[in-house]
Amino acid sequence: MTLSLTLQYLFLSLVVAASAWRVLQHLAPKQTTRGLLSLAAWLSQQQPQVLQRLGRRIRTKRDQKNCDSGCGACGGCSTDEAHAPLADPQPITFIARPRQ
Amino acid sequence: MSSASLSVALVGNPNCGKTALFNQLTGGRQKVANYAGVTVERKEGKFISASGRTIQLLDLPGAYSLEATSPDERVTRDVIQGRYPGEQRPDLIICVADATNLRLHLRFLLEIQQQGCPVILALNMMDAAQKRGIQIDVARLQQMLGIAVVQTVAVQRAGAQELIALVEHYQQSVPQPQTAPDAASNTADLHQQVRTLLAETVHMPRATDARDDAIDRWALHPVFGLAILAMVMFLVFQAVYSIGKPMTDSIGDVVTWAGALAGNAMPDGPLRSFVTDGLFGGLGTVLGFLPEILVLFLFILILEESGYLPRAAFLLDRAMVSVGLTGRSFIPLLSSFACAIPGVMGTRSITDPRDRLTTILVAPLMTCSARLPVYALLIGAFIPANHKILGTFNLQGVVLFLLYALGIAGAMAVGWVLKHGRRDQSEHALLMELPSYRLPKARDIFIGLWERGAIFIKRLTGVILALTVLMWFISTFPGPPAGAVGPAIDYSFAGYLGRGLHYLFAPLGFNWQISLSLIPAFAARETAVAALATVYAVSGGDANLAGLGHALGGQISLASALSLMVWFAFAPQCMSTLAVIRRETHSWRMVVGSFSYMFVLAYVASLLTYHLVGWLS
Repeated sequence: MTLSLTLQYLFLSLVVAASAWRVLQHLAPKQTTRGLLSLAAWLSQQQPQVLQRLGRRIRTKRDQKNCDSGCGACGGCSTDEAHAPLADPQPITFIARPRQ
Repeated sequence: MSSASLSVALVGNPNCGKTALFNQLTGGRQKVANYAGVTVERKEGKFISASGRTIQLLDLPGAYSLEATSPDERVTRDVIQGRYPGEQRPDLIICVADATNLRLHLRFLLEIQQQGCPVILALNMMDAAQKRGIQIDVARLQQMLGIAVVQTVAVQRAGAQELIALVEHYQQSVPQPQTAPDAASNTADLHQQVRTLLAETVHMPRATDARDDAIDRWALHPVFGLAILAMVMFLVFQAVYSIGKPMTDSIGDVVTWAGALAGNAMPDGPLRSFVTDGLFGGLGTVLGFLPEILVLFLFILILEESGYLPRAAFLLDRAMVSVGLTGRSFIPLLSSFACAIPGVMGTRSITDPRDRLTTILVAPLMTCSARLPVYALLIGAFIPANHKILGTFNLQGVVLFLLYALGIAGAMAVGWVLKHGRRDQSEHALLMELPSYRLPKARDIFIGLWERGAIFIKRLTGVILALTVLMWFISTFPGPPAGAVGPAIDYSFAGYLGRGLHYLFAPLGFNWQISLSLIPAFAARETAVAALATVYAVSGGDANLAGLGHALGGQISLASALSLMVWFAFAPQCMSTLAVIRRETHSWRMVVGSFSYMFVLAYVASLLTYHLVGWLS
């Protein structure tokens, strides 16, 4: 395999991995966020300044994130649980009609 | 909170201009429209006053009373009373009131005063009030209420500076309440106080606008009104094709040219395949549909701004009640034409929990803008472009209109079934305000289109790009084994996956490529187009919109194409919509139910379409 081809495959591997992560973020935002925050916390505790900065950067990026649903309410819909709509005093449920 | 910052909440009845004022003060771009129920959640912004003080501004959903009857009103009540999780009680409340309709607004103001919060009254829409000859004795009103009153026009800067100055020095400027309502005052007392206030401070020549009444004689007519509504919607979809299609074709030509240029400049190899087949072939094809989406939204924004949409809700109330919905469902359902997510969230303005749940379940059946590229692709490939109906109407536009109508009919049918499946079949009367008509402002329309375009590009360069890359990857790897005779894509992951799915979707007339494209469409509908474009480009087809159209036209029948369109009209909603349904209903059962019924509905409808069209032709 030539060097050019090796570099092409290397570049494409990175692009595909980044894309897979992006899709995972879209499909499972809560789980990926949890993973990212754990990673950020671990990095922030490391000695090298570079890793600490990286940890802070990940956390900041996460704070600025929207759901990317394309609904037009970007940043306004508060996708975090703290601002989820309050549970109704009477949860809405269907009640089966009694059989005659 | 620092001592220098101040927390201020904007409250008021629905559609009095709170969000427009919020945007004016903070420079925000939150959605505004001329009907009630646009804001259903708290929105936060901040600005810095002339003296350098930071003002944290909350925009709250409109409410008629603190005795909340719907989830969005509950948000407002809880924030005002300091009971909203994670939110401190605001330091100051700005009660925004529509100066053309003070009766309801003043009653709500008195309720807020009962809570003992510092309040400023912003008399908004003063320009409209002056045009109608309404005179308000502001000094007397201020004296009687015992609070500061400022006149504003939220869509202009007028009054905003005065309001900021008042907010900044509110502790000094707000007079102590002298005639504030007693905390024990009941509703009747409050109404009496409002009548006294109006009698002493407001001179209103007539209760309604003469111009509105003249238009409404036609627009709200039970027969002509419905005919006007049908014609308006029909013309909108005609315009999507007449205006948007030439621009789509131009973008397609540019993408094709750029793709060829990039391909020629690169040596043969995987990177070249990625750029030409994946990026230009997949992503470029979806980009071409931007003009059609913008044309559709141009008309929706004009209708939103004009004040016509609540009239449409009024007209359709009877039809909606007959299928278990309510006129109040109209606005959330209309929002779902952009995306089901704001539609599902918009149901918070529906008071009755059962009506709300029914609306949540049928909202994803409205044709969201993400489905438009799929429809446009298939219509372009299978419906003749030059064929005219009655010598005037473009057949492609008619088919698009029918697909949107199919989604609406599906929603009505599901609503009807849900209505007959529940015990409580009581109907709820529609009570809603009809706003004054107004000419849409070019600036608002431009901002709305800009936002919509930005969202599309963000999705295109975000999740759609990522999915397209993955589609290219699974369509390209692994390569064919030595001595393989079939097309390379047959030996790729995509080939195996597509053929596996083909068993499920073959009865609907879908080939394996289409079956495969349905998977990424679950994350974002438009990606179906990018996926098809990538798969056909990797298979050796032209990496552009025209090439994809030709490939589809040559490989699938009209019956399959119509079946696919019907599939997308009813197909299970995207992942984000399911997440919002879970959040709004607090129920996984609803999520599973919603997904399942749409899957079955889409499958059966596509199956019938495929076999019926095949039999007829």
